[in-house]
Amino acid sequence: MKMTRRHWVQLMGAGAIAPLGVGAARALAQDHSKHAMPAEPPARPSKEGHDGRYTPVRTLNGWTLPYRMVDGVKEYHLVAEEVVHEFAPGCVAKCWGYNGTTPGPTIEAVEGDRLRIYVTNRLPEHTNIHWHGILLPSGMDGVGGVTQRNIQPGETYAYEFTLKQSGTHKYHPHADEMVQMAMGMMGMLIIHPKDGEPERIDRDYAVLLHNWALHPGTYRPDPSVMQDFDLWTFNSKVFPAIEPMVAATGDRVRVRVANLSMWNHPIHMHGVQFLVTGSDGGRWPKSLWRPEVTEIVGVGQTRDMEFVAVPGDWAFHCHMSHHTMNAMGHEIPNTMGVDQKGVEEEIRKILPGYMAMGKDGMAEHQDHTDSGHMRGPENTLPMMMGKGPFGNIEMGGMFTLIKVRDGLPADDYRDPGWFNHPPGTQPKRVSSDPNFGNPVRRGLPADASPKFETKPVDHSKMKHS
Amino acid sequence: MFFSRPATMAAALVLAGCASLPRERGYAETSALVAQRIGVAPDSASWATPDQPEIPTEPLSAERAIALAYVYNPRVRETYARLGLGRAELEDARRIANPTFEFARQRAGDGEHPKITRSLSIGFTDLLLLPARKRFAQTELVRLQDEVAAELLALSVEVESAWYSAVSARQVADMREMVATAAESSAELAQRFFDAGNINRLQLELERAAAVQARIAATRAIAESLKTRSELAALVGLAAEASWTLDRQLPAPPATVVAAADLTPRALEQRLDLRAAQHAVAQREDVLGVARRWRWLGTVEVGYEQERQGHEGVSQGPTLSLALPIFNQGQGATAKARAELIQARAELDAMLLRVQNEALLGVQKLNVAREVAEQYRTALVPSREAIVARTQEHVNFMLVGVFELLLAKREEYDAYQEYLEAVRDYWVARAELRGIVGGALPEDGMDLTPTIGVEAIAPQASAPAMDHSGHGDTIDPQAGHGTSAEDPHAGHAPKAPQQSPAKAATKDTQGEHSHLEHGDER
Repeated sequence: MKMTRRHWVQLMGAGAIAPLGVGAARALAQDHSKHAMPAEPPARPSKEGHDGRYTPVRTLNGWTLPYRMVDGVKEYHLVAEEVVHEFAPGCVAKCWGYNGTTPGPTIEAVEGDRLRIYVTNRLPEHTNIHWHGILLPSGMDGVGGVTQRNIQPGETYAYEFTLKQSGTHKYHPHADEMVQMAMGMMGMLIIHPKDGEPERIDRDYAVLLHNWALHPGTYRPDPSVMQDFDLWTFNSKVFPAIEPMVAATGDRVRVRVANLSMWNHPIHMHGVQFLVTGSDGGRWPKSLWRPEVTEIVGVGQTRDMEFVAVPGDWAFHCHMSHHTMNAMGHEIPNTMGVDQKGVEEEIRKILPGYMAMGKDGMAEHQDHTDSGHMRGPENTLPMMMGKGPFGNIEMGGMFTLIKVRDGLPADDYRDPGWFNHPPGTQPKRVSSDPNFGNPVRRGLPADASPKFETKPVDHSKMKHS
Repeated sequence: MFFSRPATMAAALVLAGCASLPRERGYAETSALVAQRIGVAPDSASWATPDQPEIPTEPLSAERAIALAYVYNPRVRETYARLGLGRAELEDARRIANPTFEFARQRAGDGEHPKITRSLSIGFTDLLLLPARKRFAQTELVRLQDEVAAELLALSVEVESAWYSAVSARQVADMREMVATAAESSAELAQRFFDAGNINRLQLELERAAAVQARIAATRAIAESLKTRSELAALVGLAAEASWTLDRQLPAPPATVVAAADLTPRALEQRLDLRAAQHAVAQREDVLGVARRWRWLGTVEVGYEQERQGHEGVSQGPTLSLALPIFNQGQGATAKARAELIQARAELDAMLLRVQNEALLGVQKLNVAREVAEQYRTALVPSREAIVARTQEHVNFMLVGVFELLLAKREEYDAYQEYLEAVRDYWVARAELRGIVGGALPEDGMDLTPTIGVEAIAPQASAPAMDHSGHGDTIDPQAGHGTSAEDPHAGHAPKAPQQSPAKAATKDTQGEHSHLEHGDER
């Protein structure tokens, strides 16, 4: 199918209108009560952007970049620019991205296509684009100073190459990289195989992992941070603002996960054993596919995970537990087990807003922040968020749900709401007595020893067997 | 008739001129000078029973302290006594030396009648110089009045400074007490963390040491408060341990800036020591003039003598004795008067220069002190308040720990203490400037607002410890965020609206607006 300029314009129009309808439907279906979903361009199957030979990718909370055919070449236009990005309602920042968003729009193409990608620089400093993992002429590789002059502010460069491979890839700048990536410049480049998939894919999701040093109370990411990040994102969003992955029971689903953060992320999926079927090294031969429930996606890597959808609401998240939290202090005194009775009242005499917290764990924290009586710094999300049908979800960051329902139409990506569990498929309370069942326990329960203190040990006399 | 008519008349004239000075002469003038300048003045009538100072029942204000000092401080009476010396001199100067009566009974030989000589003489020099001498003594008394009044004003400056020091020391002591309490809470909390096994002995000891140090500082502040109170008591003439109280809060400095140009003429006009020096110059000029005019004049005596021997009759007639200015023509006296005039003029010039420089420096000190106090009130204290509020938010979201919050609160107290000290410095500078100007300053007597009270930064916690159960049911607007953000200065003295700049500044920093709307730079 050839796109004329007129078609392209029509598609752009459709893209602008579509979000309103989809967003409204989702708002009705999903009750994140306190944390309303943002009304912004949602992910949508990009039928417009594809040429009919593949199942289009759905970039959660993101979008696919339209192209037009010019003399047999697919022409795309990326604009590097500063954007206002919302991580979740209540937390916005000035970031850098492409065509108004971070991550930039996903580029989809088919093996064998010739691409011409215009890159316009509207940033205050020079940039370029490196096509991460793409086999191309050295001069098109986009490494500032090495293979090209950098694109100066206001300039547009054209990259042009023919795709010799298929798989899940990325694009990002290779100029002032530390800053530009920390500010959110990144995107995915998906190449579909020209001969189709070995197994037909019904739903194809793309998730780009990233980390942000958006310090509490600030409005711009801090590029100098290397480890203590504040926000951990799927496609630059944190839970509960991350859209769920929706599928019909029995669908073959692929989740393409790419990592442009500065940490490795063990991505864990509930409910199924997925098959790892590819990486940025391309699609793996079937013999190399392996079943996993957690797959580490290393820094700079991508992984394709495929599974057959099973009905239910299934968590999908990074297994680094701090990565499913929003900003929190890492050097705060440990409040676990600290009895503040009496002292709390004294402190409240001088600090009426003070509230002793964390003695019995931090779960109470979400109640405090949700109810609003413990306000945090401006532009800062609470550490844990989200309400489910059975209470607080107590998550943030890299967490979302895979929602699988029977009989969903193929192009229905709307949030179907909470899963209706069949009878007998949920745990139930059998007792409220802590001594119930008199189970076997070993060791000394902490509450039985008044105060424990070690005696100095002479380590020189210790025997090692 | 023993005395002739002229002699009788002269005696009557002299006696008539010698009625005593009025009882109030000198004292009343001095009191008036002081009263004109600061509104209160010593009343010598009240010194009749000064031994038992009345203990004031109302909190003592600065004005009241000065008024009491004028009654009870022994220095006032001591100073006034100098007026008595001046009065005595004037009394003397108004009188000529007493006339001399001489009697002689001389026998020439046996059988001879004795010769009896009686004479009455009076020094005429005295009479000639009487008007000048009287003038000198009057001028001297006026000069003394100025000098004594100036010293009384200096005492009022001392009392006022001591009052400000005592009130602020008391406020500071209250503040240190709160810091100590905060630090002790912090240490107590650290103990709980330690007991739970969550911090080590090192961290615990750090908190404990901080608490003890804060307590020592609080105790020292109490000692300082007692010391300043005692100094004030000594100046006022009260016993330090008696049950009188002080105002609890200093007034905030007025908004206006004093201009040196306004004050220098005022100082030159009002300052009493300056006037005293001017009187001294005038007096010396007069003395020099008199010395010159009468430099030929030696001792002159006129008299009347009667001599009688036997029955031969009486010989009688006037006498005159005159020192001839042959060897001493008054050169020494003139030279002395001239030297003293030069000396007095030099002293006056030096004083003029000093007064002008002091006025300039005093105004600068005052304005700098005001600026510093304003910086504390409108910027630093609100900023510290905001830091506490923001830190509380960070604690709420588990971004920082409670110890940082308590530290922020202590720093807020510290800033507040420094503010109080800055306000004290302002008022002491103002009292001193009043001394330099020799009386009232332009805005004296205007209504003043009190400083930010302790309660502003130490809101009385009304909400009981929060019951954490049942969340979501009710949201207590006071709790949580209420901290000091709601109205940090609530509970101010009635005139508090003027304090709102501090509050406004706090509100400002909370900024609800999105920073993204503010163009590019944050």
